Amino acid sequence: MRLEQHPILEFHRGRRITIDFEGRNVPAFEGEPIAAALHAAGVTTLSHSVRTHSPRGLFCAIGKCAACVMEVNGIPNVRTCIEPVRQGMRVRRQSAEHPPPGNPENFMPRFHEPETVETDLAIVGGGPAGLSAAVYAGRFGLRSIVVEENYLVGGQLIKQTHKFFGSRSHYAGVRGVDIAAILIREARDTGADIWTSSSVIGYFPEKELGVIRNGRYLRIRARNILVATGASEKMISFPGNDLPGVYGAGAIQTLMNVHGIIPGRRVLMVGAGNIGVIVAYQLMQAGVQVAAVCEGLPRVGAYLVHSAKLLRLGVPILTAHTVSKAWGNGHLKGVEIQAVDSRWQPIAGTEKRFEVDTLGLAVGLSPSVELLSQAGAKMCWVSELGGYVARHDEFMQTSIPGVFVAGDVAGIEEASAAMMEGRIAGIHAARRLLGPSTELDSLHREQAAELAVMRDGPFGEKARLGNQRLLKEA
Amino acid sequence: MSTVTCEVAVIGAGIIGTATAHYLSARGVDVVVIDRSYMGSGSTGRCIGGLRHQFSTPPSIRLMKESIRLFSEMEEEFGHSVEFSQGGYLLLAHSDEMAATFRANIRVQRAEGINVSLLDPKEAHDLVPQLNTEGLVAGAWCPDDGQAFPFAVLKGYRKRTENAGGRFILHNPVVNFRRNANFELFLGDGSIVEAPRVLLAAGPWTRELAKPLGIDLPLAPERHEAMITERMPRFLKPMLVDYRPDGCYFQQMLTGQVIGCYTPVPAVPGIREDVSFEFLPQVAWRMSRLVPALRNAAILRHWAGCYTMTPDGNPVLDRTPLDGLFVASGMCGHGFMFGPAMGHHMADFILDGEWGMDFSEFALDRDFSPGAETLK
Repeated sequence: MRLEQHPILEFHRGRRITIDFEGRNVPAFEGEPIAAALHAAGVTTLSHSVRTHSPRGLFCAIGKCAACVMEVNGIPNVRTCIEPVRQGMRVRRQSAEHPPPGNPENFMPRFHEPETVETDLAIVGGGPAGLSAAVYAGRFGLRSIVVEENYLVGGQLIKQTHKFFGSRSHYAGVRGVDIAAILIREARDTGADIWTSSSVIGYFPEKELGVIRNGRYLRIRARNILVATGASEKMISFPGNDLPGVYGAGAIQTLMNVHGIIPGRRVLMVGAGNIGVIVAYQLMQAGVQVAAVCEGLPRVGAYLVHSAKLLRLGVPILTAHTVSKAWGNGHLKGVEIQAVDSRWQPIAGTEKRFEVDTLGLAVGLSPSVELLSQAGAKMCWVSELGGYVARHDEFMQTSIPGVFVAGDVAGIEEASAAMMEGRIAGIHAARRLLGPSTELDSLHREQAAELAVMRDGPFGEKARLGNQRLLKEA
Repeated sequence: MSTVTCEVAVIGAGIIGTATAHYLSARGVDVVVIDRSYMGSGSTGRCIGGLRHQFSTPPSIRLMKESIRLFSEMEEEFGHSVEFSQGGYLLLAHSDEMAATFRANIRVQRAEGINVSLLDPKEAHDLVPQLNTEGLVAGAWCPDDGQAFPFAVLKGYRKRTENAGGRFILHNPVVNFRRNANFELFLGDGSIVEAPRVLLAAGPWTRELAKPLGIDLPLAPERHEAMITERMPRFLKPMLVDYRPDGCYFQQMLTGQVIGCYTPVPAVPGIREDVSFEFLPQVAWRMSRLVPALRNAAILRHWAGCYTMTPDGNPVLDRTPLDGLFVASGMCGHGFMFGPAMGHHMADFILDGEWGMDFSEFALDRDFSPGAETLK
């Protein structure tokens, strides 16, 4: 279901085209991903579990999970959430009845020696952290390549339609989507090369990355590497949690705020932290009913300014409640929640049922540390930061010299923190190549001080404690 | 400092160690399995899970007949699937020399009752329609070869061993090794395991473990890399083995992933589990040359593990000069498939002092001149 009108957003849709979905013509707009076009056409089952054959739908919408993989133009396992539509594209669900195609005609297998590209700073991930690093390193003449696996740059900023808080240097009062545009422009202006639809698939010593770009495999040989791969949505376990219609809250934001498509008519949101509450409000802005917000903790975690908006609109926020089950035949039809005691045990007799076609899960994020772990960076578990993170020092450098981290992958925090960490990493990548200078040192002190101020308040407590623990480990 | 005593201590929780422990415990022996890391963390968990009858000497062929029978019984024995299937092995010769080797082997294999045949390129293509037969001279085909999933097999052996009273000490390396009245194994956490009999089944680490006891085993680890694709609908039944110098071998698992590797030339010696940049473009090219339909497959993961090589390409299963110390290593890349039968015979040998079949080609005092096993 496409949104035609929105109180604060305008959707600049591309040219109208059609794609072929299992023999039927589906209208689409250039610039949107396949999964979004299918959603707009009411197709929410994108794949099936290999083992149980149960239907699966869009869950993360940013290429981190595998729930949306489909066969596109004969190529299996395409992540349709980050693959843009093209006129005449053939898309179908994968199943045992649809084995991969036979040998492609006219395919002359030939060995291609992968090309090697050298750079001062290879940045994995084009979100707020990665782009900020490119801008700051670029100011000192470093050439950087930003490798982004999505066809859209800007990370999660592009779906953040709320205005940021903080100081002017944190883009206070500016909406996330507009901050993304500023960062992309600044990064390009300082000489960064931004590679979209490009995936880093592995780290090889010494500071080499294997990258798939435009269907070719190539090697980046980097003097510094910044891993700014962000985070992925956490999942909670309950029967029916893989039904189409169960989304990560971020996926709802992407569908709705980036592509102008609403996920359903009536939603239950799980998680009353900032993300859950903001997305619930944004759903209402888009005309979707929000049945309730349910939160496992005994209190609301979101800023009052966000949760008050929901309460004023009469949306109940049920604390100390968790999801006990979800059901539906091919798509979500209803959800049951249950009160929990102080030890998270469900209390019998407190079940409440909601007829909803959409369930949003905003139950936290996990740092996307796979590349760091594979590279052999020393990892540690810091629950305040969301789980496993790479040990790093105050300059955002990991245990591998010249390999930096910034943003959610270094510990779950806000986009503002990601930008400051990215700047610090950019400054120290420059410092490694150019040697210390008073300018670099004073820039670092400035960013470090701002980060400390941001983490100083009650809402920065988790990040402050988590980072203190991390620095002790390093 | 805690001391654990047992009748047999097994070092290495890979296929050889756990299978032997299972058969020992089934005979009522108090057994302890020790590993420096997790179950299968050495070579077993890093292998691609193929099982084949197509070897070149009768003892190996007979062992594999027994092993594949044991694999086929595991689901019933363990109560869970080990993802065993018999999709066959299709070996591919792109030279007359290799085709001649196939012919010679097929004679030996048929004499052992193996259902194996030589295919011409057209027959090979009929069997695997996706196969690019360019340059192909002949194929050797055995429909009874197959695959199983290493971790599911280890899980079953562990369960059976523990049910029979056996114990596993994991994430705890043997750091020193001494012989008094019994063997004393000093572990990383400071504890000691004491046993009158010890089996060294630590794959690539076996040689180093035996050195403090003055025993030098002819074992040379080499790095092999492997990769696995994302799941795809099943389309490829047999394991394909391309014996060209720039060949490769791969199969599709029951769960849909295509898993494969190639033998690096020259070999990469040492106990190494790091991966190279060169492997992925090479393996992608080699595999898609053989099955062009694979060129669109997305690679999910790439890793490395060790083949523990011997000079003649055959394993070492024997007692050592030190009374009570046994060795089962040097699997040359075939440990997983040999494992069940070798575990069975090794357990009997440890307890009875004699082999149930001809094991002379695995003896420690054999002539190790290269060349016994032609299909490495």
